[in-house]
Amino acid sequence: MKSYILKLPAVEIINRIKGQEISAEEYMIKLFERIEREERKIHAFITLTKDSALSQARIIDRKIKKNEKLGRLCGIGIAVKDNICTDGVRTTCGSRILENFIPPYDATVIERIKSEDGIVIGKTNMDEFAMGSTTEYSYFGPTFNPWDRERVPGGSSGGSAAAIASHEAGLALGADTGGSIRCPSSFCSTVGLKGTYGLVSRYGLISYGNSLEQIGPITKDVKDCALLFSCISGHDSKDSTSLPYPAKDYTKALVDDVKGLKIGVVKEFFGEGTDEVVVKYVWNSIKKLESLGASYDELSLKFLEYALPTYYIIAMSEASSNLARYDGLRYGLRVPNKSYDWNTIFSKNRKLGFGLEVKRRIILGTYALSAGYFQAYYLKAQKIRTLIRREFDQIFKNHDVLICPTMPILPFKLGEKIKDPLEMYMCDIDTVPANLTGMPAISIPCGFYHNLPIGLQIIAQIYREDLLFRVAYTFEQN
Amino acid sequence: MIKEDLVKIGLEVHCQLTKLKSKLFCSCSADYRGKEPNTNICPVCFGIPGALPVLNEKALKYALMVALALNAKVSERTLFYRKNYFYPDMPKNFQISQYDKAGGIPLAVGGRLIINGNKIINIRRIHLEEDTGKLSYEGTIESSNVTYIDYNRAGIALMEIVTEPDMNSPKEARLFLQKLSSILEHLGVCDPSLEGAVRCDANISFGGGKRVEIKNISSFKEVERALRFEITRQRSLVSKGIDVKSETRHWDDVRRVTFSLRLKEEEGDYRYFPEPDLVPIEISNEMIQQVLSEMPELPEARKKRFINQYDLSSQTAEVLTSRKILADLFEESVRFYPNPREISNWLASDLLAYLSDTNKEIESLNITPKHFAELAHLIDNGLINRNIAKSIFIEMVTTGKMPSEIVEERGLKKISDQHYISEIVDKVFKENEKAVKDALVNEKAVNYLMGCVMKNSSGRIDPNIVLQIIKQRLNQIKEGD
Amino acid sequence: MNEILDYFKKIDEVDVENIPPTYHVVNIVNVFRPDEVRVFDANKIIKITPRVKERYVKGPKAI
Repeated sequence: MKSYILKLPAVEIINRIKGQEISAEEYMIKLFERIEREERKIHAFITLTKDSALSQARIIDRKIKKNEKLGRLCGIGIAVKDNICTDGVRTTCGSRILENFIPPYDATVIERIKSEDGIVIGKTNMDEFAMGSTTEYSYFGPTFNPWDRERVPGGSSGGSAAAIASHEAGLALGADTGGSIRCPSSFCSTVGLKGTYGLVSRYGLISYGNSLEQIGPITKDVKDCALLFSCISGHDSKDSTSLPYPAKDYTKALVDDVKGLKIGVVKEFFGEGTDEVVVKYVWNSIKKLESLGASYDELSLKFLEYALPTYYIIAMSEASSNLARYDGLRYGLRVPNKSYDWNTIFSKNRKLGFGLEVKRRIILGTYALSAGYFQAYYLKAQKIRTLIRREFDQIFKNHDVLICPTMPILPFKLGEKIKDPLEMYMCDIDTVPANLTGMPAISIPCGFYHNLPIGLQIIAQIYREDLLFRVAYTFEQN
Repeated sequence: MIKEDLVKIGLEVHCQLTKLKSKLFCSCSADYRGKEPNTNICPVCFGIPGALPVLNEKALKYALMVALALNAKVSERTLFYRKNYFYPDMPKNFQISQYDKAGGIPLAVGGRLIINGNKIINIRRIHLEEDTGKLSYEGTIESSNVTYIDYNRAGIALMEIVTEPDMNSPKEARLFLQKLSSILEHLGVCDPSLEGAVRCDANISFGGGKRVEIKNISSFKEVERALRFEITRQRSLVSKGIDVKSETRHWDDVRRVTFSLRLKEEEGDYRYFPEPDLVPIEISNEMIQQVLSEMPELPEARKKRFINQYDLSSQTAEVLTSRKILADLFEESVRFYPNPREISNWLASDLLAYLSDTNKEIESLNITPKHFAELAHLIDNGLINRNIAKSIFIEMVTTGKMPSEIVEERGLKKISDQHYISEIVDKVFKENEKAVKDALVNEKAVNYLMGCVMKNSSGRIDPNIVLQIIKQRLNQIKEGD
Repeated sequence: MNEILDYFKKIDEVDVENIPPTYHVVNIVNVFRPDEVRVFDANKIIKITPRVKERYVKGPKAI
């Protein structure tokens, strides 16, 4: 009975659990029945935490019976990207080097969802160390797109988006360094938000590109997204880069009205390499918002074409340093000692533990930071970042939001781009600007082309998530 | 030939901020000494993925105090950098530090310290960084088949102070470190007597020749030894016509030699870049004023005060203020018994000589200001003579017993018991009737009687009292006539 | 790899004279924590370490 409940938005499920239409335990049992069925086809998860999820659900049922105060995420099953640390639950980052790594602490976002009575149901598949846009670079094998199993779900948070699209989770957490929430959201027809840099604590997020990334929600609809974002955002004293603002209730920003809003349409976001179908769908969406009372004009951003190389130089440089700690001494994979010295052991460990793409990025990042190349690559990229941010700031002086495609192309087939890393990098062309500038960006579904989802990206000025929610909600409702 | 005056020595001093409660970027205890290995660790200082650093506010304040005490120029804005290199004592395989090459903005630049009264040692830069874990081996580093790592020390707040190559002898290097240590002590930011709290690397060159770095010097006693060894070594190379190589050598404080040890980590390019997990630090004028207003008295000012307030010689005042604990001991002792001259002599000469002879630290002695106050008091009252005082002093610092206690135990006190002395005098008068008669007319014969009395008491009775009683007796005899 | 490096060279086209770098995208400074001790259960950490001897992390030989 009631198996349709799994397909409802999380907000609805939470209300039904709170309203005792279904017990948290009953819901959780149903959810895991579905997960066990779907996983054979989708492979969204690396690790499932069924036992603890069920016992959590029973605790929540007792709270409900005793009429205790209930959290905003009461009983909902949440899928967590496997680069977010969970106390006592294996966290692999999609890598062999962390295959058996069990963090001794919870990330701040995990503490927050637990304090809101949300339930972690498992850890989702991802490209190794979040380096990829297809989830094919996972040591644990790829995730399949629920809309077309021959195609990739996008990445790197492909497992989280696929779990939502296949109703294997009520809510999901992803993390976005260069589009890793928005890309799979676009390919799987989910809603995915990367908030303003510093709004969600990074404490417990295994670093790839620290100055770029944020944890964020991947959900079935905009309302779910606003709810989860409200629960996980807000100042955290454990993260020095956390903005000093308290959490807001973003569900209040869900206003079905875009009258008077000014949309900027930047032509470089529809540049060479963008699929005509995507261009058409996104333009149709802009026209729809216009019909609802918004206005738009077309603009050009001179430095946008440099965003992608700038992004990759910064991300790889930071990554080369972040990933240095995986030497096998303190945690993670450790090859047998034999009689090697530590330099040899370090290399052997890393050779065995890291996949090809991770190695590639470490080498490139190391190069970009090396004496003699630092100025030409890393430093220069950080300066171009300033130019890009300035251009965006200029535009936002007289525009509320920018609208563009999330992904320039439709979901493609597994193995199609894995041979050509540069072609793979090109997929991130529309998503990286938000990471470089720290600006919030959301991807929402804007239709299907032959059963393949297309995503619409909305970008706003720093700290204006309210505008994103307003436009996204209005678009979704009409 | 190498001329001594062409020697140029620069120091890179690492001081732990031992007076902090917690580590530099996490809430683990700053007191890591004597703990079981790997018990003073957390996700941040153990480099667990996902954990993030947050700067200890007091560490910054302490570092600012030191910078200001050394008259350095504090930067208005500074950043932490990552210094990347692989080494098992570094949990993240990078160290959060500040960029030490041109273009980097450390916490403070410039500044100086005066040693020997007039020799200026210029400071190049001062910055904050995290300490590493500790490695140990089975046997030596070369022969050991394993490396044992204890991360309890990893993440402890370290301050790096780099000097210009302004020192011209190993002795000056030691004096610099001593003076710096005293400043750190007076500021209450570091206890230099703790093992490993002040460590340094030295660079040394002759007559504009090749620069040799010496690493791993663990105290200011060692710095002089290491540099002396290095000078001798280089001299002997030059005398044999061999060129001195520009290299990094390590100081082995057991064998007391420097040796060349090329480890891979040193060859590298540290790939410095700003730490993205920490935000910039802006140091306002108000922050500096705040720190200045809380600054305690520094050794230089204290020395001047000692000269004026206690009428001490400049040299004695300098010696006493070279260690805070010594200066404190002096002032406290004087509070109990106001004879600064007597007390300062015991502290500045006898105590320091004892420490250097026995290779002990003041902290390890069980002595208090009361010990020195009492010692001075016993001497002033004529209760013990100076020779006896010296021997009491040695027992006092060795055992921690109070001087009066020692005097009592040893029966060292000069006998001033009138009754006891009278008995001896009477006995001597009976046995020396002729001498008594002489003494009645001849003052000089009194001395003979004195000698007899002293002999009878093995010389421990107070001669003044003896004389007094002899004169009394003689008067009684006179009156009796 | 070279193809990627060539692509990175695209940034050579941009003139960045007098442009400051954006190392930190958030405009906040002076984030501190108070000097307080909080003890973490170190056993939870040492439990995940692959090789331990008498609580020392055991590593390969140095040379």
